[in-house]
Amino acid sequence: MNDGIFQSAEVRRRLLAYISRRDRNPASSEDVLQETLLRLLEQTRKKTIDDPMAYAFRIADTVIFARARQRRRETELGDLDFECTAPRGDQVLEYKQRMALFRDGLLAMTPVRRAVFVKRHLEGKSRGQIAEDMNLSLEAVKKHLLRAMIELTNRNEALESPAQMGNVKGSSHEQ
Amino acid sequence: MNNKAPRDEILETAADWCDRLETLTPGERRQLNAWIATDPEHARAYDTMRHTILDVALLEAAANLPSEELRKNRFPLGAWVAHVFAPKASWGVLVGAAVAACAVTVFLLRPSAPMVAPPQLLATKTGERSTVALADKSVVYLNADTQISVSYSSHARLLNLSRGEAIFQVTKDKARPFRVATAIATVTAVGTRFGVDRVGDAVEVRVYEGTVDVERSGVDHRAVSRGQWLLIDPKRGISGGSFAPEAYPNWRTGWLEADRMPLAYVVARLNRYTDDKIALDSKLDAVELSGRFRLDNTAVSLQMIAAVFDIDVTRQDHRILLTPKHK
Repeated sequence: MNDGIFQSAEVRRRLLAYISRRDRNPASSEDVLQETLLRLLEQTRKKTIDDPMAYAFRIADTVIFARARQRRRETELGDLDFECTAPRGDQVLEYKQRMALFRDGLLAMTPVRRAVFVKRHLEGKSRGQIAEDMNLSLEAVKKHLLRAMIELTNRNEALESPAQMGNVKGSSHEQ
Repeated sequence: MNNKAPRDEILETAADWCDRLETLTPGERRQLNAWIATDPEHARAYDTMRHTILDVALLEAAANLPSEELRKNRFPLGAWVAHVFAPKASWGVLVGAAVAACAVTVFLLRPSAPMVAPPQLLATKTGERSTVALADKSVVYLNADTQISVSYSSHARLLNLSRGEAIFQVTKDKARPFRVATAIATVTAVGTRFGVDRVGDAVEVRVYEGTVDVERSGVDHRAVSRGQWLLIDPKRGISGGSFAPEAYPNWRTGWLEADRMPLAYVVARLNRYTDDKIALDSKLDAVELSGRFRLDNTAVSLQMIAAVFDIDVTRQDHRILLTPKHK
């Protein structure tokens, strides 16, 4: 019913700008855009989307991630696109900057925490497998994993959307 | 500051959901939706977490971490050896080196060469791929059924591709050229990204970034630049052409993209993903085909190929024979 907005040049431009910053490979931005619009269209036919634009950015995240991950299961991310009631919009740092930030974050962790995160996120091992590999309890693996995810997210958020970090009410650029 | 604890708790729950997302049961999925709906803070935490965890930049950062044994290079050698060969601890050494779940990585030691790092053997089994960060932050992406040995010293970075295919993303180091040797050719780079593929007796080189030198052992040298491929086939001679270098290497997404590729090469590449090896009637060797084939589903790919070229597919124990159809 509101398919119309996805055809607008402005929407395409904003999405493309977002995708080309978010993805490591700007050459495939058009492909990502096509796939994002397609998924968005499918979703709007299934249910009412309050904020299609914000939703589109999240779908783009999923599409980019699915394309980059080589492991089979990720090519079928399926219904993981998630519509947020408090959308974060299209703030995104430059790719290289984000990579450096994550690298710093990873290097700042204890070796055990870093290892747990890498095994889970990059190698796709289950928590149980990691516990066995590293001689840790399942609880310890979970704790390290969640703390690692939070540390990385906090670093990213601190730069991408400082206003949402909680204690920044009158942020510096308003003064 | 005093609201730090609840925020952290929410983030922790969000992280847990995010991490388990792909394995949630329908019931758990409903629980997640309910949790998100109860509080806008939950929704925000979840959205934020998801945005970071699904970031390709995070994947790349994790894949390019320096390997752990070099980060603390004053690690005593004896302890290192014990560590490597201790059955449980051996994976710990590979922290930072992004080794896919089932890839096999073995370290071999040369006892009387203290200045030279021990050669490292990287290998993948049939159907498995792997990404490994080397000591100098260069990254090797191994296709299935591939074997590489890596010897680094203070003046050279030598790799030997004894089978299969890999892409090398090379960290610049003018003092130590990066050389990938195969039986019939050696590819040399300073800092660049390129792929080397051993298909049967032939070697194919693809350059995604920069320029490399390809030396046919004892015959000649030639430069191959970004967007060019070169195929050295002892039977068919040398051929070359261009491709879109910004395109993601297809096998990393589970596809083989053939553009007038001889069937023999297609079969060699499919065989990296199947334990039941495909054998080709020599009459079909030179048949060229174009198209997109799933690497991880040989049966479907063979069906497509068979349909297009009037080929009979016969299964014999653990072999799959392709022969021209009798009319």
